[in-house]
Amino acid sequence: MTLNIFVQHFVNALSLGSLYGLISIGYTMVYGILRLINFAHGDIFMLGAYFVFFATIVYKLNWILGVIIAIAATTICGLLVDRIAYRPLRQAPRISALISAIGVSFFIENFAVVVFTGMPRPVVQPKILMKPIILPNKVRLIPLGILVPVVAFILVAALLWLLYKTKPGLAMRAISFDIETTRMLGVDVNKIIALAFGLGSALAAVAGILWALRYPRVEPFMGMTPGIKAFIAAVFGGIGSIPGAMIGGIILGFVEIMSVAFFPNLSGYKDAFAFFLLIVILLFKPTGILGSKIEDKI
Amino acid sequence: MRKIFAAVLLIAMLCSCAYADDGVIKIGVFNCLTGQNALGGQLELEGTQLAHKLMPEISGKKVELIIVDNKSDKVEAANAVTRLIENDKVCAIIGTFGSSLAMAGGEVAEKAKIPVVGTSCTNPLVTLGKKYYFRVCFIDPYQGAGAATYALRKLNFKRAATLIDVASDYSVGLGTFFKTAFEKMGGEIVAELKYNSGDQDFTAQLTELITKNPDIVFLPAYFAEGAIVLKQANELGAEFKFIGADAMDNPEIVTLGGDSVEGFMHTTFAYDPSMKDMNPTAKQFTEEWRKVHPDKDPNALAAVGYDAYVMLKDAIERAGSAEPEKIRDALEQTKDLPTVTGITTINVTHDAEKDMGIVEIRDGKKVFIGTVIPEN
Amino acid sequence: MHKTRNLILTVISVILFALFLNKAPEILNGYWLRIFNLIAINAILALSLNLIYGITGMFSLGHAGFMAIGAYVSALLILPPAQKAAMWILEPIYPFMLNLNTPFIISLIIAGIAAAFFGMLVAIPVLRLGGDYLGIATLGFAEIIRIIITNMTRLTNGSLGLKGIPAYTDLYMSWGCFAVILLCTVCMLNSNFGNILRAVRDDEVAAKMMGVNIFKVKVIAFTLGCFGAGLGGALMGNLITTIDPKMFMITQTYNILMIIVVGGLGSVTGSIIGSFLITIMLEWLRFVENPITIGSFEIPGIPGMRMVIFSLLLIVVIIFRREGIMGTREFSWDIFFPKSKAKKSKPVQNYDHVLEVEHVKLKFGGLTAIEDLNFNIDAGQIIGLIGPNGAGKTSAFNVISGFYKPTEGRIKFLGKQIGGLSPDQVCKAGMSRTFQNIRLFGTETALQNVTVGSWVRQKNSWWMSLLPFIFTDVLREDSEMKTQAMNLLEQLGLSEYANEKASALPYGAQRRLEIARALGTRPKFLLLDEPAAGMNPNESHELMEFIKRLRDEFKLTILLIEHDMKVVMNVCDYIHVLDQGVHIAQGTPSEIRANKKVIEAYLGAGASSENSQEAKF
Repeated sequence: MTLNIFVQHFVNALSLGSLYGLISIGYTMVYGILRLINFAHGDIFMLGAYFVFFATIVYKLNWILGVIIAIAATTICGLLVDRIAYRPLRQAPRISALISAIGVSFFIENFAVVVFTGMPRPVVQPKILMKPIILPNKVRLIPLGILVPVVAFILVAALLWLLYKTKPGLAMRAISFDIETTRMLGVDVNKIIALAFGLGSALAAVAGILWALRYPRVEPFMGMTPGIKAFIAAVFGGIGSIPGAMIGGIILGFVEIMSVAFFPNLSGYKDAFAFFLLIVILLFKPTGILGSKIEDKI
Repeated sequence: MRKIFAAVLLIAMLCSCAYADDGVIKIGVFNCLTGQNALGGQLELEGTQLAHKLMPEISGKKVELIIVDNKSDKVEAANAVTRLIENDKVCAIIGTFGSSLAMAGGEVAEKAKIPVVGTSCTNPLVTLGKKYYFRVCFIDPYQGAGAATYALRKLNFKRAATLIDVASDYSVGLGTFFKTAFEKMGGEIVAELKYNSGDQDFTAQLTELITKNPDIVFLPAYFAEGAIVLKQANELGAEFKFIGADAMDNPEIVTLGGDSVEGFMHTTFAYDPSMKDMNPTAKQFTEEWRKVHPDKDPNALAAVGYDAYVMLKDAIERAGSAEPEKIRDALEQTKDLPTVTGITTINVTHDAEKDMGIVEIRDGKKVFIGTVIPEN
Repeated sequence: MHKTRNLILTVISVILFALFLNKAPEILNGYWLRIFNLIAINAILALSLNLIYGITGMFSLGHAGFMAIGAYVSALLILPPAQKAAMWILEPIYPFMLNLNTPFIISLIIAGIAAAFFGMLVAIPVLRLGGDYLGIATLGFAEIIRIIITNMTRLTNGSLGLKGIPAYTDLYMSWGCFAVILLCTVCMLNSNFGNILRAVRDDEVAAKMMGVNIFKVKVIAFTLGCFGAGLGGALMGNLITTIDPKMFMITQTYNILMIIVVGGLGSVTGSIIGSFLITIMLEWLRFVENPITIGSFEIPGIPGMRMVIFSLLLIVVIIFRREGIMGTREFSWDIFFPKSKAKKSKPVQNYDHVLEVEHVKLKFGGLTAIEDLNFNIDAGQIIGLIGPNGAGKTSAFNVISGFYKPTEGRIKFLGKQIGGLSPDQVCKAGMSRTFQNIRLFGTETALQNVTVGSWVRQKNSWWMSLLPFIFTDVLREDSEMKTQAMNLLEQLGLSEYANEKASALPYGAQRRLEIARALGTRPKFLLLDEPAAGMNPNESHELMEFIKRLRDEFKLTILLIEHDMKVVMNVCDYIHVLDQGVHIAQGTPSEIRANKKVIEAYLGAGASSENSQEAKF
């Protein structure tokens, strides 16, 4: 492998990995606070992509406005999901909420089939983001590939600020320790959780929009594979840890791209590499790279 | 006890021969209206429905189409066919897009001895060893060889590579047949790369392909994935050409792929609205389609959906009966039947022998370049 | 009496159902026959997942992967060689595979065993994880299995899958397999091994202390569940007659998960009801996707609507009836008849031994929990271990009972070195304990809780419980254990609660039940962690008598932690005092009462006025 090819792979991996990271931030935030694997995250992500498709292509709004509306609409959907499917199960065993999440995921996917039909729709990519920049050694990079990590970095910073420097953030962290105690301290737990969900959905929407720009088509099942991948990324980084999710996403991107780059004959096994690494990490450091340890008290 | 048993048997027998007694011929359609193959399935269904609309009667009897969705799922496909046969008592079935679905449904039909006419299920295994499964399309080895012939003989490309969806039987099959034919004719396969259904990032595979510097890459993908592959190839500055197969034949490919699909070629059933010397059946199909779907171009998948109905109608007329067994025998004898996608003759393996079309995308439009007969 | 009655009723209903199956091919059309086959297969799959998840509490999302293994193994074994040769059109099949051919039944068994084998391989590394992490890891494995099947073309024909599998699955086959699996499952769950499985689900820590080798039990349950998955997968592949890797995606696991959740996690009856409901409903809901004609109106079918309604129903069930239809309950003929009562028999034996703790030190990282603990206990004594909060009392208990490994020092029990052994090994050596915060197996009855304790003494292996008709010894031993457990309950005045759920017992009874459960292991040495916690003076007075009686009746040596000084001073023959991990004093109750160091430890240095201490003690 020549150096310029390696650099090209490196650039590809970074671009894919930061997208994974972006999706998994929302995943990990909801998990960190509620200890709920939100299986519907990938589908909310899909909704975000669809809304931007409708806003910009069907209703011909301009990009900025379209993106804002899409994020707002997705956030509302996320809040509805929380209110209807998760909130009644706060006191229930965790498995109930998990199964509810699986149900919600099924529901959103199939509802999208009913409403949007199964037809993949094209998304218009703003030319300015797509025109390749040619770096030395013929390495090509599209501006979107730079935009994604930048957005991700800003969002991670903003979330960390929210969690560690603001009052709702404090409440969120308190809930992640002990929901009952937090309630007794006079915090409106449902409101704070709804806020967390709203944020998570908004993040999913951002990821969905950027994803749809990078891979310009939307279809009802587009959230499934990225959803699972983002989940793996979140586990890599230590589920619950926001910077961890970003790091996990990038690691996953590198695993996928580099497995093809170094073992092109085994490219059919690409996903197996990712899952294998997932299991290895779980076995040797179940809490991921940046996760904290939870112990069972006797 | 014995009496009841006999009565039940009698009723069951009565039911089983009640196929066309009420003056209606019931034809079942099982196709994928939802799920991952929904796009192809819906186009085919529209074609079949158009044919039914134009020819609502066969031998003076009204035809009733009973449509069942197989949801792009094999269990559902088998259920759907069972349901058509048991509940709706159809005398013949049309379907489906997706060879694995056809195979799952075919097993059921085979057992119940009900003839099926396949639409675009091109995998050779669909009709292999089946007495009751026929198809109106050619098969993958034929198609793969056709693409290879075109690339090597017409375009004179000596170095080819394949990019295959390892989870799709269609893609894997075509890739292998292309490779075999291409190497047999003296070409060289320089790389075989794979991806998985559901993948959306192909940059790693494409970068790898660029290093191998092939003249042409065979991409037997479904159009929705294929368009994204072409887009990313363009972004990475790939200089080789791509050639695909019939699953890339969908009007949406240009909207999805934009500029990147320019110059992309694919093999397909020998029908396209841009064809120059269209046969009369194709002409009629094109005109009628435009009346019903003014906002949508006619396409090859709808054409095979249409042709499946035509072939079945022809067989029922020749059989002079809507009895499944007789329809089957008549289907086997199908010869020189004019259909939208060319003259159809059913061979010993129950597959249609017909020309194969090559389409190229030029200036955002599909252009039918001509037909190819694969070297073998 | 009612056992015979229930047996007769069961036999009658089985015969009726068999008659129905016999006549089914005539009554039902092929469509319904197919659904009935699917119900049986789904029920097998649901039972096996329920064993893993509902009963043993291991959250597994890997079922589809093990189904895939079963389906492929069986199909490869029954496909005729000629067909195999014709089907591998991409790459030739491995020659050795070509001529492999077995009868269907044998292929099913091999399929089950193959899935079980891989299940075990997966289980051994992965079962160390708990909860969600286990779910993710098993999901990962299932995907890996699928990817490997997709890529190993020469073995599996890759994504082309296997077609035209000779169809042998009829109602006899599917329901027959189901009957065998059901029988084995029910027998196993009714045996003491079933109690052990539920105990592991309810409280691993406590189960460990009852002498259960958790890891082994989990691996067994997981492996058995995978056997069922393999068998079910093989039947399903055979019913559909074609398989390919896409059939075994995560949605397949979700479907089965849905069945057991709707039916009730942990309930065998629930799994069966769930299989009927979900399988039929999925078919029935098809109507919403077909055009509906009402009068002269035709509503066009809406594609995708079926799964929308289905997922909505799932959400509704989980929100409004999350325990499912059956909860953890099981069907029993008894619900049709009034209840009857339990009976009695005779007491247990005696022991005579010692514990030696030699210079034990326990450190967590830089933190010293115990600094040089050193004492002996003679047989038949009741010893108190006291000290202010955070003194390291419970840590000392955990070291002795095997939950922690001592950093330094030795612990000899009955002359044998036990420091560093695991809790279940320590338990087998003859030591048992209770917990500060009660750790009963909440969903099991009081009686079952105690029989878990008898697991250590059980001679028959777990697998015999699958076939109790052959290994009748299992039944005899189980009933013996039950009688002994009943006796224990009686001796501890708990017989009235025998068939009630442990979590539903009053607090005092729960405390006593924990002791009864500990006694079920027939310990020679009993550790009681704050037995008087939460008791009023009256109750703690009773407790003192009770502890003394325990020692005498069961010939026990007892070590207890207690804050209630009245209890300690009254009951104990000898007392050890810990403060911040240091063994600061020991002596008879009166010596301890007068010990300055102890008073300082409790009230802080300088605050020692003997009178006030007397008052407090």
